[in-house]
Amino acid sequence: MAASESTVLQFSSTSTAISATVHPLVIFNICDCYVRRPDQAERVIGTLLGSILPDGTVDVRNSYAVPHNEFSDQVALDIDYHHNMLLSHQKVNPKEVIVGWYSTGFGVNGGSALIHDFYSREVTNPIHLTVDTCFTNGQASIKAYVSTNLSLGDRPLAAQFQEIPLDLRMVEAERVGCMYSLTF
Amino acid sequence: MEALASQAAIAQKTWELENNIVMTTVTADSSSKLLADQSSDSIFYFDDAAQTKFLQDKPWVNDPHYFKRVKISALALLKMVVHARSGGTIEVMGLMQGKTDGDSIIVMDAFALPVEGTETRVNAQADAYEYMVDYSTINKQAGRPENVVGWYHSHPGYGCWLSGIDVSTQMLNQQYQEPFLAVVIDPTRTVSAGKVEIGAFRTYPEGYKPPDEPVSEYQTIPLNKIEDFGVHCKQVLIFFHLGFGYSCFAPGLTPFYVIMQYYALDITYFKSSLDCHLLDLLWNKYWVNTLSSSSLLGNGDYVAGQISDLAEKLEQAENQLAHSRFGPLMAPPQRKKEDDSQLAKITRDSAKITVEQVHGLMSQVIKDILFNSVSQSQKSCSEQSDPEPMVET
Repeated sequence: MAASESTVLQFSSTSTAISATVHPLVIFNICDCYVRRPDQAERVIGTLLGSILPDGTVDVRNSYAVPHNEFSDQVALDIDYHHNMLLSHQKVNPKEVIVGWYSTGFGVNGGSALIHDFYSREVTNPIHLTVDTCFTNGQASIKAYVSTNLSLGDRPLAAQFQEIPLDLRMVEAERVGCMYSLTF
Repeated sequence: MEALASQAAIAQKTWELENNIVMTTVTADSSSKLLADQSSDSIFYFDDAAQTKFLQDKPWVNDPHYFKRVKISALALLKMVVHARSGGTIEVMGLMQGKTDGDSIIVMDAFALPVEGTETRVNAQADAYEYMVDYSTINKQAGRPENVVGWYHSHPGYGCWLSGIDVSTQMLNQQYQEPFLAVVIDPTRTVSAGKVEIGAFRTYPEGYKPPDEPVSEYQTIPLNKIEDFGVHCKQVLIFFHLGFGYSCFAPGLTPFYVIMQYYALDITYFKSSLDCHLLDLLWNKYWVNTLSSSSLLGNGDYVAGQISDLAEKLEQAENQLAHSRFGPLMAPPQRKKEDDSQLAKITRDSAKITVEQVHGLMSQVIKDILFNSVSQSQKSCSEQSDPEPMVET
């Protein structure tokens, strides 16, 4: 009777307590891409660039939008564009690597899982940032997620988007720029 | 809570009035607010046909002073400032994308170039051009049809103006890549003064004689750069000629000769409605951050540099004074007048440095009194020291 397998759904805890910090420049970039998106797109997705700090925190410093098409169940991503932009950005900032991806809009949906899958192949444990540009709850919510595996005993069931703590971090220059932007 | 909110609203309105903030008219009605938002967002719309026609017309060929204004988007400003600051004391450069609108150039986005900036660099190397072409093509694929309308670079710690190399680069640009704009950012002064130091310039073509300009804002230029500055901007020549290191555009003194090679454009800024919301969000969350940061912490080196430069200028002024006393061949009265104004300038410079330092110290003292003295019994000693800034310096 000794059940060597537990029959309880296990949420495997993340290997490290991952948290993320993001620079306001990234959010501005995302909003700008959203405002200038092509007319038929409902949301904008793109790549997040940054670095992983020694204590495990993911520092998101830059981003760029990636053209994509979304149908009910499928997502088509312009991979060439993504790689070309990555190369261009790395020429200017060789220390920036892919740390995840972002999308506008509230919450995650089926397409997001597919996209997250793609990014997991690019980098281990990407983070997913959502920026709610429609102010669904009356405020712009910016949330970050990582993918954790749900397993029942030994069998992997599904991957879950688990929210991680997010912090806004500003370099002094950004702060001056932001505060100045408030005045015009 | 509501009383606080209305007080805050009143305070904001008062501040806006004092600072002459021009707000686009937005009515309280929600539907028309959407319209107003859309119309202010219309600046983002890129009219391909109109742009091509404008490029063909080339109205700037006949009037070297054609472009008078620059509108920079909040995103472009932020990107440029962050990039400039990330270079530290090394000059960095990048390109700006946007469009034109009558006599204004609109800058919508900016991106960095992978080049090392030094004063001896005349032009970006070949791979920078390659980068520019690649980046522009990729951007057009992604639905951003703006063209490159200018370049920006940083002058860390020595002000916003065009050096000799910059002037020749810009003149070349204005021959082959019109319409083109030059923007200079000083990230060090931005951080130390708390407001963005930026200037936008266009050069005059070779041999053009500009009409007399009204005096521009006084800015202090370090001695080691003054030669470069003096050669290319009007009215400084007189001071340079007499061996002084000042950049002041002072009226009432006749210049020996005028070489005005570039002019500054008016800069205004714009942001989308979404940016506004985002900024409000940032402000609500991070006023604590602003309060806890201190401009004194990050700029020790820069301030030391300023003070040593001031000391050198003082010494120079002193030497000139000594010479004028023993130089009977020189015209004493005129000299004395200029020397007095030299001292006045030194005074102004030192006042500026002092004011910035005093501001920093004052704000720390006020914060200490406000926050620390109230709960002195409860808080531990560590609270008395400067709060750890959440901002990387």
